[in-house]
Amino acid sequence: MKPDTTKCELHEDLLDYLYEEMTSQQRVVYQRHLDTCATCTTELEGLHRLRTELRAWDVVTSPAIEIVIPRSPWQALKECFMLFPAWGRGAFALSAAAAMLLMAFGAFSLLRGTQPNAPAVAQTPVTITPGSMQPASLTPEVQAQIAAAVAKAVEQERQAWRAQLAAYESRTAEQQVRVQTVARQLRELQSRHDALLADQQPSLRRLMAEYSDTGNGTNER
Amino acid sequence: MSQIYMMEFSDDQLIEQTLAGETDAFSALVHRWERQIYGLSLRMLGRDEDARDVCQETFLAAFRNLNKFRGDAKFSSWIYRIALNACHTKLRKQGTMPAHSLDQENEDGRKFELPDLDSESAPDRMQLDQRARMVRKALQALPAEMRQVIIMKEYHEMTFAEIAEVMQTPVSTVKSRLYTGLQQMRARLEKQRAAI
Repeated sequence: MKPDTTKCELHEDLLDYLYEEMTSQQRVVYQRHLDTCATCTTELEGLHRLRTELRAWDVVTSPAIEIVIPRSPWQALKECFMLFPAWGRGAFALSAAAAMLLMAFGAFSLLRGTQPNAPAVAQTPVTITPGSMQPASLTPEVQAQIAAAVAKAVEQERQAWRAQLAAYESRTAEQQVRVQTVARQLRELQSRHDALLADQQPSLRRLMAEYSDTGNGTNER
Repeated sequence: MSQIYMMEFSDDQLIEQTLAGETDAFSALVHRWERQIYGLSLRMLGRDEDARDVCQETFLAAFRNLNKFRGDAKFSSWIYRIALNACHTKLRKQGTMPAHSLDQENEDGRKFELPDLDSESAPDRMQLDQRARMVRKALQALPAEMRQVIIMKEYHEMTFAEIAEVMQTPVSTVKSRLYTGLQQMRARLEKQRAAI
């Protein structure tokens, strides 16, 4: 038969006392109440026993949960990049920069390269019989002058484009030379580093041996 | 990498790092909370396989919705709520959610459809002694709302306020469910002892 705890006015504090969610002052007050209330005391003892029983079901182990989290493309690229040694990452970055520069130049050249077609249209009046394209009011001399001026302008523009193209080609060649130089310097640095390491190894070993000997001497003393 | 994260960062910091694209930070969160979530799920559902499923679902749901997590609540409350929702969904799908109280069971003689405890693997059977099995059966027989409160209070040592935050109910409701649940467990265990 369960005790009728609803009759006790402090029954609602029972759980707070049981689970120690009371202030120390409240706890003292409730302990005094327990001294005089058999109903709450019995109820409390029953709950204590139940709590002990509940502990019998203990989940001591848990499986390792494998959660497959999709990596973002940027993170995957970053992790792949970090697999290379530092000098490799530097060379890769330089190569990538050079490749981007070349691509940009290629795209620019392509765009510019299509434009001579436009002057080709303008060039047409020069080759066509002047009289067939010009208004009838223009005299043959004037028409000839116009055709000559147009042809001259077209030729000037062509020459300007050729000069620009030559300048870009020259710059690209310079960039390629620079990239090659940096790559060569990196290789040289790497070989110097390897050589230095190889040189230092005997002296390091000697130092370690000396240190070890000194240590033994100290221990003996 | 994950171990370092676990040692050094708080939940909130790990969340920030995860949102910045560091998936290892979320792995650290999983390692930090998987034991608690598995324990909660196992006690809610009664079967290791189901608990593992819920654990997976919980962490995947957390990862997908991490950007919706608001810092005004604790991560633990948030992840517990996701896990409990996943448990309820699982129980509903299985049709094993006890919808009646123990008293009702006594009155009309209906038996709750408990998860099949005998279908466990041999090592699990070895681990559970008689007392643990009794507790497990009594706990499984409770309505889910009472069971989850008892689990959070007894096995996860959460305060009433923390449980109220997880369940998004007033503290008074939590206490009421806990008290009724404990009383029903006592009755159930006494009945089981008498039957032995």
